[in-house]
Amino acid sequence: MFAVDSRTERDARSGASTVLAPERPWQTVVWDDPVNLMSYVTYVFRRHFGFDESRAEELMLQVHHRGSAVVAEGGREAMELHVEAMHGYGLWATVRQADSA
Amino acid sequence: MRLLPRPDGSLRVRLDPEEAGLLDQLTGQLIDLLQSHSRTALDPDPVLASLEVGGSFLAPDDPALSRLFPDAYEDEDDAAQFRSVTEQGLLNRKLQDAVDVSAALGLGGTLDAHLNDELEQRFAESQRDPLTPPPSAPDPVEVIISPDDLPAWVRTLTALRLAISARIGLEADADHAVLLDDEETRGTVLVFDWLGAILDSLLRVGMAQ
Repeated sequence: MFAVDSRTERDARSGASTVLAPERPWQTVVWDDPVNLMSYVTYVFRRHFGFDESRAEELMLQVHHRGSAVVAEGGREAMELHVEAMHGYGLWATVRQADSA
Repeated sequence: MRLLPRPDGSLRVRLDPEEAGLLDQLTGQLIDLLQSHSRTALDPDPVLASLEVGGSFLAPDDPALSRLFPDAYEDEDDAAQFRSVTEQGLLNRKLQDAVDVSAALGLGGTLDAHLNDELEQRFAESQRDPLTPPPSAPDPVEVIISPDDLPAWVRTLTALRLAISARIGLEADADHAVLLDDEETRGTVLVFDWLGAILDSLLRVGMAQ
């Protein structure tokens, strides 16, 4: 019933490849809040990132239990687009640079 | 609220008159809140307006607005920079969602604030005693939500819940029970939960289609 946004999925994939670049990758972090329903967070992850149900639920539960989850990694601009989309859905999300490995 | 899936993939939502009135009123308030923060209408430069830039560098003072437009970076300068290029576009999209929901309800969003209080109270009473008949306007409101319409609905219901939570200071899970026990905030918490129940039903039935 819902079309997967293939553009953002591709962005996320190409973003993931930049992990190999020397610069530390950037991350999209989604934070827990007392308002957003678990079903809604799962819906947003599926719809925006094109995750399958089990992956979306896994990340949702990570947000819920650990307080946050890294839902995408890659170039800074791609992460900013993800965070802007998360804010569009009313999720609390931030961009940050990954800790050096 | 009753929700029925239809063979074509859309959802038929039937709202009691006081439910429809309250949702319409709340959506109207959200539209007012967003418009109060919008700069597009005041921007004399159509190119800038069409680029959807022109947002503020500063997080809004209003707690509801600041929850709807949170900082994207921990660092203040990065957050301000991001906000200045994204906020107006986000606002425009939230506004469009709310306008779509308001139009679908077809009630005009024109009830005054006094009536809103009254609706909220009636709503709280009807939650206590489900046998209380609706006080007026006996016709239920029926809305058809297509798969394409669903995102605007779930985003708007979420925006309403975020704005309400900021207004009553629901900042942690434990606040919910405290605010529900307080006579001052009880009615608002019931409305908050009711919006959550609608949202959850729309997602459950919508995603199962």
